[in-house]
Amino acid sequence: MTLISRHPWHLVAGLVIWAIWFVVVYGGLSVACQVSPPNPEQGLLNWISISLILMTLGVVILLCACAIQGYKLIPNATSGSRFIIQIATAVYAFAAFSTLVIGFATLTVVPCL
Amino acid sequence: MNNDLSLHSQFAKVWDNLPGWGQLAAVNHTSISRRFMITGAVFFVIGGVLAMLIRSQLALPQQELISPELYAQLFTMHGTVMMFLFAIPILEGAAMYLIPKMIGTRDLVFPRLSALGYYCYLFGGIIIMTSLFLGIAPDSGWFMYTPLSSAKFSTGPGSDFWLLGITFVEISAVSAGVELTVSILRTRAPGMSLSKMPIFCWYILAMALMIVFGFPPLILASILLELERAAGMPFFNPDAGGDPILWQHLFWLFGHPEVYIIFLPAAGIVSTIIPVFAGRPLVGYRWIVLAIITMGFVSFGLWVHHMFTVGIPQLAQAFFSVASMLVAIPTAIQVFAWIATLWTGRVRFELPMLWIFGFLFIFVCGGLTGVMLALVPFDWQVHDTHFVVAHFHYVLIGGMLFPLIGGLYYWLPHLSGRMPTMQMGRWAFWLIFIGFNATFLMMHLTGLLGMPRRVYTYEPELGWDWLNMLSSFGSFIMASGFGMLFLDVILHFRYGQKATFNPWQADTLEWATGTPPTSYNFLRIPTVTTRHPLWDTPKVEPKVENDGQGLEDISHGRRELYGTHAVTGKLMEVIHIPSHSWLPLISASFLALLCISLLSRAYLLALGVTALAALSLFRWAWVNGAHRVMAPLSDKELQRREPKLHSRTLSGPGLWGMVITLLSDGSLYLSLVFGWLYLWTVAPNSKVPDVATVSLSVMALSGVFLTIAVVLYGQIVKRLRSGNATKLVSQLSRVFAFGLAHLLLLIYLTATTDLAITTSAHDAALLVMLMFLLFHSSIAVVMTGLQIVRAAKGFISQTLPYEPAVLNPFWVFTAGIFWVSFACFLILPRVW
Ligand code: HEM
Ligand SMILES: [Cu+2]
Repeated sequence: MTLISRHPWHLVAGLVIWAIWFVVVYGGLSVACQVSPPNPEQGLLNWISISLILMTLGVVILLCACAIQGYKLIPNATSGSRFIIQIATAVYAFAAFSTLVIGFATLTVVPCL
Repeated sequence: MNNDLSLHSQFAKVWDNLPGWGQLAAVNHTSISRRFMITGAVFFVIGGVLAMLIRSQLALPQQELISPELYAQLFTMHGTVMMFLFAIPILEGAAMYLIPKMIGTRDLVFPRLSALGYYCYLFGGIIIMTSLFLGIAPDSGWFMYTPLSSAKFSTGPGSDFWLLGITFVEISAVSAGVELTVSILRTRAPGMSLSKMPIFCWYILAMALMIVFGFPPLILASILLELERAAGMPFFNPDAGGDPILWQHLFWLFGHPEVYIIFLPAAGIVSTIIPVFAGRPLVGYRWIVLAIITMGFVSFGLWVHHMFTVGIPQLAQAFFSVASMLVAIPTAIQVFAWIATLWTGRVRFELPMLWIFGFLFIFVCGGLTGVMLALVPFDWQVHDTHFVVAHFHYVLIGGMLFPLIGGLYYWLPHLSGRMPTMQMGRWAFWLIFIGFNATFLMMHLTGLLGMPRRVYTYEPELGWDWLNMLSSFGSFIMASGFGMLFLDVILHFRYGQKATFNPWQADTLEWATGTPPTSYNFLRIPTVTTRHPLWDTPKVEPKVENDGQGLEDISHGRRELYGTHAVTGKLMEVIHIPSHSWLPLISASFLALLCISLLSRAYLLALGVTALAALSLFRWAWVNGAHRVMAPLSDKELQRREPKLHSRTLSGPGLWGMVITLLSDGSLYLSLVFGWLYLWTVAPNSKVPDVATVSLSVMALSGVFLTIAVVLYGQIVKRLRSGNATKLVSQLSRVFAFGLAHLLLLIYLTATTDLAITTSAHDAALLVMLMFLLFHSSIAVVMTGLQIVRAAKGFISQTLPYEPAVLNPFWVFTAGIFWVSFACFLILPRVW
């Protein structure tokens, strides 16, 4: 599947995905805590933490896949599109990193406290 | 050469401002941006005086120089003036001055909008300042937290001045944001692809887009709070289902990006100046572009770090804490790139560089305290103390003001035609640098010792005395430095040595426009083949080809720019822009009157003034686009060897401007949806909103009419695209009829629905949503009505297919927000 091309949209696409993930995770957490907060004694084994972790992993994998595909495109890119693809690749990689690092918090803190 | 001289005078005739009072009708970017910068400097002085008053009061414990009431007004106005009336406008002014020159064009794309923006800023600023002279200034802090700023606890008109005045000024900021975005994307000199763009333009592009997305949350919040204060709609009152924390979210959703909106252009100045004085290209251009993009995005994910103490769930705090630290990465990338550029270059120590070094030192310190604050437990200790005050002055003064002054000295030859000198400049620098550190280093300590911010005095013997004394003393040193600076700049205009061509041996095109520049910047629009035109091509000239001559013909009397491809910089069309006009001043005056009548709660007058403002704005729209006064069709335009005029195509600056404006509009709308969902789910007394009073069937019927109108309108544009312009009038009339049916139903629905807007925050939000839809639907319908007349007059035709393409996205947007509202506001609570 081709995830990435020379279209300038990819300059920001990685971070747009990151932003949507961030809104969903933060907003979802707030709403989930209102609707059905898990028992804190469950620790991290509760529906909220598990869905946050799965969502984070999914987004990280997607972003990494985009970054890897972009990276492979660079050597063959024309001089006109190389700039876009290089930056896009780096943006995807940074977005993946940000998602992972921020998402890491879900492994350390029990939700809804 | 002689030939050029007469050409120059012909160009001047078309491009120069009107003489005398006619200057007020000026729209040219060089004139308008100068006004922005000068006005900004005046506000800086005012804000500075307020700061000195604050520091005088705090110099000794238990002083009675200033009353607590006045003190509250002073710190509120200091923050407000510095952030909204100085920092943003002066940076936008600098960008508006430099961008067209750097990208090799003659003006910004929407010059009349620049002028409107300036007048909104000026009038809004004056309105806000009057409150201080009347002694009724806002006094709840520059972030206006409710309930302190609400009608109950701020009974005077102070908060109203803030809410209305700032919203007014923000119109100016957003319009400049839209204009800068479109200018950078669509009017770069032929050949200037994104990768050849001067780095400063990347910074400004990011800043402009951040304004476009970042200001609307505050605009919405201000509207809501003003509605609460004036009409009793309880958005922020927990007893009626509201929540004061909603204000904080909306404010910081704007407020944090705001600090990066201020930092980015300043960093852009640094990235421009350092390579010039290091005599080599910037190290890591791509890395910096990456840093700019990531900063732009990540800074939208940090706002909650201003709210760590309000009781947000720990996990959410952790997200924002980590995100706050992440933003240090792009910052560090830039700092390392700057250091590397200096390291590998041969540095000339001129005056601007002194300020850059000051910046590097202070800003890095401020960044470090920022990372400290991002640690939640530490923030709990020092939140609302002087430590925070110290942090943000290190980043704001170090990160914005120092580069700005460096930039001022660097571009002074451009404004005055003269060179700055080290003599007084060095003194000013050291006074400010030492004074600054003496003032604000101390505040870290007083903060750690527990001194809260925003207290008008303190007890002796808490260990704060000498630190405060020293801090106040430092502030006077700093003030004397600024006095020196102003003196230096004024004397410079008289006695400075004449500047030669490109005096600093810079690489960017603004230095090819002459010092000082002409009103049209370039006689011939150059073609760009490298990232450093003035270093690599000794003579910047157009590459004369079949499809472009550099627009050196002016016999038609139009102001023209090249329109180029957003990514590749390939030449696409000739953009004709409007020339000087009184309409911006007139419209802004009506808007200012509106602001004043709302302030004095004269709502009938407000209604009348709104009508006048709308009239002048529609008049403005009427004589725009493909109207005869802009660019009448002529045979001559086909004979010259230039691309088509943009009004003869379906894509021009208007379309781009419309789309960017709608992005901003969309951000406003999403903030409203956020507020709705927030009040529904998270507010203290939240419950599922009762929306049974709003008739679903009437709403749905209205939506069906709207959808038909939008589909029909889309078909018109499609047919125009394929060159078919028959029966335009009757087709537009059909759209108008369906649009009108939709609008009337919506009005009927709004008028007949029984909403308890003063006792229920949900109902109040519903009303705001309905008004938002009404506003958009009315504009779409009226504009389409006007287009019927325009089609009949021949302003829309097969050769002039432009305008429907511009309005089309607006129709689509109107339908989009309608159905999203239908789903989120009316269906979702019913099925929950
Ligand atoms: C490494 C980057 C930065 C981090 C991690 C950071 C973090 C923070 C935090 C956590 C606060 C809230 C403190 C509190 O109220 O308890 C804060 C306040 C503030 N920061 Fe920063 N900051 C950074 C850079 C900047 C920059 C670059 C600017 C502006 C150019 C800036 C301007 C401000 C302002 C104006 C406030 C205070 C607003 C107010 O309360 O009135 N910061 N910062
Ligand atoms: Cu912040």
